[in-house]
Amino acid sequence: MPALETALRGIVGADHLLSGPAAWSVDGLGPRWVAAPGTEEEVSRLLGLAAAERLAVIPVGGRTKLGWGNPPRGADLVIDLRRLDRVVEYEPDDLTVTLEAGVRLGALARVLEGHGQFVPLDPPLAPRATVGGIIATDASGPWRHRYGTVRDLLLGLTTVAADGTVTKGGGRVVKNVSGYDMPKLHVGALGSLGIVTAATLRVHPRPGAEGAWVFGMASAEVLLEAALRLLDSPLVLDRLELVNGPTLSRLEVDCPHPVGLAVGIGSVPEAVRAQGETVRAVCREAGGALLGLPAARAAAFWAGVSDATLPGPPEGSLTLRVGLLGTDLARGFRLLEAAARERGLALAVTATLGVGTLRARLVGEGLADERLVTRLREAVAGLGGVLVVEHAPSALKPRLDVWGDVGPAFPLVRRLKAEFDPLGLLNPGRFVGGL
Amino acid sequence: MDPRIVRELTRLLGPDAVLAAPDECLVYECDMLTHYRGAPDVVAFPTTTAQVAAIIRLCLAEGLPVIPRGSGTGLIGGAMAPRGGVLLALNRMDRLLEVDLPNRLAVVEPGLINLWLTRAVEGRGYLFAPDPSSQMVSTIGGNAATNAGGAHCLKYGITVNHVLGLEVVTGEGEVVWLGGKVRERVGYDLTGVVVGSEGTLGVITKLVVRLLHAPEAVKTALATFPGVEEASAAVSAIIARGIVPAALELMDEPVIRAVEAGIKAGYPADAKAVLLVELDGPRAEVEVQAEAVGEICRAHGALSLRVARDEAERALLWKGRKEAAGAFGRITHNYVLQDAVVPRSRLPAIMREIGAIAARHRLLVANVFHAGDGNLHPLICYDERVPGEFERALAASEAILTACIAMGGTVTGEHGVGMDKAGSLPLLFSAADLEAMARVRRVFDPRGLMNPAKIFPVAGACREVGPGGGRPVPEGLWV
Repeated sequence: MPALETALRGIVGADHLLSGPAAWSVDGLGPRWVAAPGTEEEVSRLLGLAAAERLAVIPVGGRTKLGWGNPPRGADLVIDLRRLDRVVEYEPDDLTVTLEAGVRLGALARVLEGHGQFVPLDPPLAPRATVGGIIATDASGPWRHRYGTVRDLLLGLTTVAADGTVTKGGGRVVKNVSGYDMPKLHVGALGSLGIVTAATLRVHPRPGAEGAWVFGMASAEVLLEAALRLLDSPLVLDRLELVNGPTLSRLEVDCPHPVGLAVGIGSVPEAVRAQGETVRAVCREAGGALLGLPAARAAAFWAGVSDATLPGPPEGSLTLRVGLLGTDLARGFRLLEAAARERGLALAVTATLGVGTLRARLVGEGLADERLVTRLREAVAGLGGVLVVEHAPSALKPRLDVWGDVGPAFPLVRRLKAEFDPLGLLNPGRFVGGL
Repeated sequence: MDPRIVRELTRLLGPDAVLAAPDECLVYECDMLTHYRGAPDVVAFPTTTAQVAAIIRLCLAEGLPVIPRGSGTGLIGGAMAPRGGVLLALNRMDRLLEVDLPNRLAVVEPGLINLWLTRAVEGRGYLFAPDPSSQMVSTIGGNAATNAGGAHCLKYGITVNHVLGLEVVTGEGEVVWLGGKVRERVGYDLTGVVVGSEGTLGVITKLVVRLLHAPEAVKTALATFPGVEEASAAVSAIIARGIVPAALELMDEPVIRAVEAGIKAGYPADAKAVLLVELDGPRAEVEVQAEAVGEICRAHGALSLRVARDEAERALLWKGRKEAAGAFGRITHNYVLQDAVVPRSRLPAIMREIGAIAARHRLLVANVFHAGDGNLHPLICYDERVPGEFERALAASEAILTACIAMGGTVTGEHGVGMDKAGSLPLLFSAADLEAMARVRRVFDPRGLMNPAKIFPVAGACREVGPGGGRPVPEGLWV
């Protein structure tokens, strides 16, 4: 359809439109075009055109989580947002920053660090991940323990709706209850209600000193007990993660134990020291063995923890996110361990203990059997939890609902989607319930 | 009101749970922003979710508005009935259903008083962080409906950051759980959008809320300054040093005078601005940061600096702040209260602007505010007995709001929209922005019967606006 291609080229310019690029396929579905708009207005015009021509649209950022979601029903137009990469306004005194959706967390970190500040988001592949992608997926890492997810940092949002209308929600200040908190709706929505083009985030001062320790523990149960003791105290921890033994070894922390408890503290040097002593005492009492983690390697270690459960070989790995009550995490760990053992799979696990999130990667043969996921999901549901498949081999994925059951709120979810995207053009089929 | 409906409500709830006499309903005609009035036709006191759902279904069948209400401490013309209808007084749904300390959460009914939750868990070292100044009387359901702030949200966030899940009866009478005890979520963050929706999407009947472990140490300091600008500059310098206090509260000279005349908080007589700084966290961190805060205050010309030595002294320093608005009744007959926000770096500029607006309208404007997050509460004083003063006060209030928005701020920082700010939302949001909100409304409440005439600007909403208010200002008004 040359007329359509001409129209797309007219919006973004010939240099920013690709035709039929196989490299951009999503779940094996290659888009007809990839357009890289440079302004919000171009995004708006692209979506206006897409609505008029009934084009299925897939927004992408750093493509670090493109495997998330169910396979799309269509992929006519991929909108690559990486050219929207400007920091619009940064006022260190306000502890806020306004930026375009394509700004990468790595670039943002460099802007903020000159002022001793940071945005505490450490999802997998954080340096490459874009702000818009983080909002769309609500992806998080170990910092979630202290700082929450982007949900807790997001103050305002500009989105382009499915018909091309530009809408704003929230604002640029920390306290704001002016009408509905519309930005929340887009967090974790996988772009299904609109495309994020800009956001205002709360920033935090970076603590002056940081400390990190890893304790080898005899079992997940013992580890959880120690973690619950740390949580039931006035300690202020940045990170509190379970990391399984083989994963620790991969991160060059020599671990003869089945699991390790990784603890991070950020504060003034005096408080890092004092709290670190308490942490060591609690873990020693639980029989934990302090493992070697040189201070110079701490940052690389935490980045490794964030990335520990990324998919390995695409056709030979399955990655899962499991949400449970914190007190059920050892049970969740055992379920994953049993599933891996039964099928002879290699298992990498991390868990954000204070939140109740387990992340797992299973690598090996025989992943095409969907009963692995359905049985785990049933067991997790039995504990009141949820299981989301973040990556699955292409032979398996079409036979799964990666999100699982949304529960009784689904009719509301479906109607919201219908209100905001009545033609079903934004990431069609990829969100919950095949929306 | 049709006696048939009163009979049906009585049948559903029992005779002790329905008020229908006009004089009894009149008690519910306003929240604490008393110049918006509208009495409901009936007041119902449900005790269960099933009763709430049954009432909403009855109202749907009869086309009657439903207005949820907690303690009525709102300041927005929110929990009142400009179009009549059935007011749900949720005060009897006040149980603390579950405390789960290992998972640091509690399940509560909406009518539970905010402070009671903290009282129930503080013995074991925990607290519920949202602390609006009204916390000794306001309900957690009301806090969630308005997404209430408080003095400590600079560090701990606002109510939405502490709500994990909600049981809601929608505007279609459906009972549905949004979110829950497990934090990982699948689907849209509906909890996040219902919090702060002021009862326009449904009625909250249960909440799962986060509990925090109490900090190891708390240090409260009070510094006085020769002027608000010096105090504001100190606020910016504290933040620039990388310190995020639990609270940073500022009061100007008229407020200091009012507080001293009332509760005798012990503020120095020559102070023109009082800055209350509260640091909390690990003891070693608090010690180091307290040193730094003292140094910053002195460098910015502090006249005095006092650190509370014990809990009693800390409570006294705070009492002045928490009761400031109530104490104000001693020096003015009436006032209009504004709730607006500017980016923190604009505080000195907005203080100058407010001074100019006050002079232009020949009114006293006093300021007590959450300086740490730029959340202002100018109190615009007037006397209803003087013709024209009320109108001038409203004009000054509008002018302040417009100035805040021009500086990159917002329409309401923590009180909410209600009737009061509905007309102001278009200052901040385009028609398309408001239409997006209306879409959410349609999903939850297609009939538009849930707390109508709030949040969304309505042409010709029937409302009664007059220079009402306390005579004098009631004690116990919280900002």
